[in-house]
Amino acid sequence: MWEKFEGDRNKNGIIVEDGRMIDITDPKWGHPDGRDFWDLDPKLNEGTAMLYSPSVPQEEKLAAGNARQASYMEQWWSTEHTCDVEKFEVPGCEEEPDTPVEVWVVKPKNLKKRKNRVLFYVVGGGLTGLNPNAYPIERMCEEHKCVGIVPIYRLSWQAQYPAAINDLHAAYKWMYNNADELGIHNDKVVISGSSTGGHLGLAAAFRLKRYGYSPRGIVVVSAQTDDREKDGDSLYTGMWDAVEQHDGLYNWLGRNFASNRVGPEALPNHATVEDCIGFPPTFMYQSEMDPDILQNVEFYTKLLKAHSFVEYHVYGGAHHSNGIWAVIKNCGEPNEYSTRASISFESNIEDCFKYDLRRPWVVEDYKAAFKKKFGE
Amino acid sequence: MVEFYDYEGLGNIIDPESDTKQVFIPSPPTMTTVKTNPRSTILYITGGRIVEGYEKLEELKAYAEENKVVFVCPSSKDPEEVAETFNYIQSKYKVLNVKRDEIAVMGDADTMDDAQAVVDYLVDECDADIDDAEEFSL
Amino acid sequence: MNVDFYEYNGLGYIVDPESDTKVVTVILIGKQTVKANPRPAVIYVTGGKINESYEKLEELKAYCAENKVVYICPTSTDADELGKTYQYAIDKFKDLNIVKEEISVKADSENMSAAQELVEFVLDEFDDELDDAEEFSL
Repeated sequence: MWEKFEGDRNKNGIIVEDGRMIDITDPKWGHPDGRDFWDLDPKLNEGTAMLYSPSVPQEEKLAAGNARQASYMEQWWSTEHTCDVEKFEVPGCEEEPDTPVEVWVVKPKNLKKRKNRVLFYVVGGGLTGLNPNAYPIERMCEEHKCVGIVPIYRLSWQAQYPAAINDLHAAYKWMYNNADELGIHNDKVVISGSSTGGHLGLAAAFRLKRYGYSPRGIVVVSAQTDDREKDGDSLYTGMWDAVEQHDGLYNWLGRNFASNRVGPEALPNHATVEDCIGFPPTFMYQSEMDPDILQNVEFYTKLLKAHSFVEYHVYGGAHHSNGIWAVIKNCGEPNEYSTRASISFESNIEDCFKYDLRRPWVVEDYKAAFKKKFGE
Repeated sequence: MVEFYDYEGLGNIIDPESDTKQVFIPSPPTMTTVKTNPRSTILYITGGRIVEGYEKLEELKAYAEENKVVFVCPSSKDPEEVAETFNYIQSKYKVLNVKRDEIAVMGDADTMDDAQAVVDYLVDECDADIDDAEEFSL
Repeated sequence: MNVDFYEYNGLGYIVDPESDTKVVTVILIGKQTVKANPRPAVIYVTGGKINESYEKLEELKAYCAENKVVYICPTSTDADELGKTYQYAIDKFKDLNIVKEEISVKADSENMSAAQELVEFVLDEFDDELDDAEEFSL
């Protein structure tokens, strides 16, 4: 077995045979300006890894996960905020009506009197942790003069798929139906998030589409798009590597892991091109070493084929959690390199608000073509 | 504490302990310690005198610590070989915790010509933005 | 100076003085003449008074030519419909050769409240802060 998976790097009996993965431990693989956190001692990540490890009993996960969430929330509510943050309990969505969801409404001081833009922000964290302190939610709301809607969705150790998607759906529906009270414009919603926030944002957009909602755009970073490994990927191992992604999504999907029985509401690349018709304008920012980078590219091509407005930005010499994302997801110290990525990212969000980049005619044309081919 | 170590077989580095701070990596959620307040660098051209056993090593370490500066001391004074050291700093600046655009080239009284030749070479071949060589003495 | 007067998208009429032009080089195509020096624009709310038979049309044209300004004159006084004119102006700013950030709203004395409603509609729907509507008459 390859030495990375020996000793304290052993991941509970996981086998990695020679030649199956590329070891990127040496920071020589990274862009010189973004090598922060290139290789971390796996011990630092044990608190997260145990929450999705199949070897850890569920009661232990619940106890550890609840304690960790409690500390994140205590930190959030005891910190001084630059925006007003209010907590709501909102009704469950159509698919799980009896489960209410906690939703935060983040209001910066520079809002208009009414009909404000909305940043529907999905916090990331591998579906194992939801730490709002680690993401620049307030800064983004201030910068884009918008109301932040932050759903506190259930994590994989609390409830498996589709719980988190149901929670996002419920939050969106509530926000949409209470636009006037919230002082928002419900046709001006941009979904954003990073890592799991990106994954769930994209996946939930398929759910929202099924229910007739049409966000202005989706701007995500390091989104996971697929749980199904293919020959030729899982190339790298590093911070949030193929093994971690595998276990993280396995914990969320359970027996539905790596199955075609579940569609894009679980993982976006389960979509067919047809599923993608009418998908909102989408902007994806990914790292070369994201474990499912090839599936990300594939998902992008499906959006292209479905004629959505879509941009795909991939950064070479970057992995899931390194310095290129320092500004976008509070990942280390900002520098010129990370600022460059952030300017592009933020301008995509601004464009979604400023211009309507949706393409409703694609759906109409598709319907007409379908009728022509198969009749009424 | 001031570390003294060989780098890539090219020479030795005198590296005072960096300031550190705890940061949070959001995805997956992990706490880690990172070096902070990057230092400036003196590329010290002596033709290889700064080695274990150099009589003023402790003095040099004390100077580095007091002035919060990293000494990078290549064994060679051939500009082409010193350029390898320069490129090492450029690519490892995060790990070294130095500001890669704050490099001063210095020499001893008897290596000043070599140090200036290094400056000229780095400006010509590596697009370095550095001042003329200065003499350094303890 | 030639001043065009034409209908736009069935929403009303535009008074459009001849633009300055310049020659630019377009890759693979060659030299092309394009409009230059974009002008400010006024959305002039009159409830449809400005049409082919408007008695002061020539005066309005002369005013536009002299002040290098484009008058966009919607027929409607309904905020939603007026919003379509604003949308048209910002979508077609290149063709109209106007500065998007320099659009103002004016009205005759009878239509001031409709014009102010447009200003508010634009803030709600487009997040653009226009100055309050002003009265304009020749």
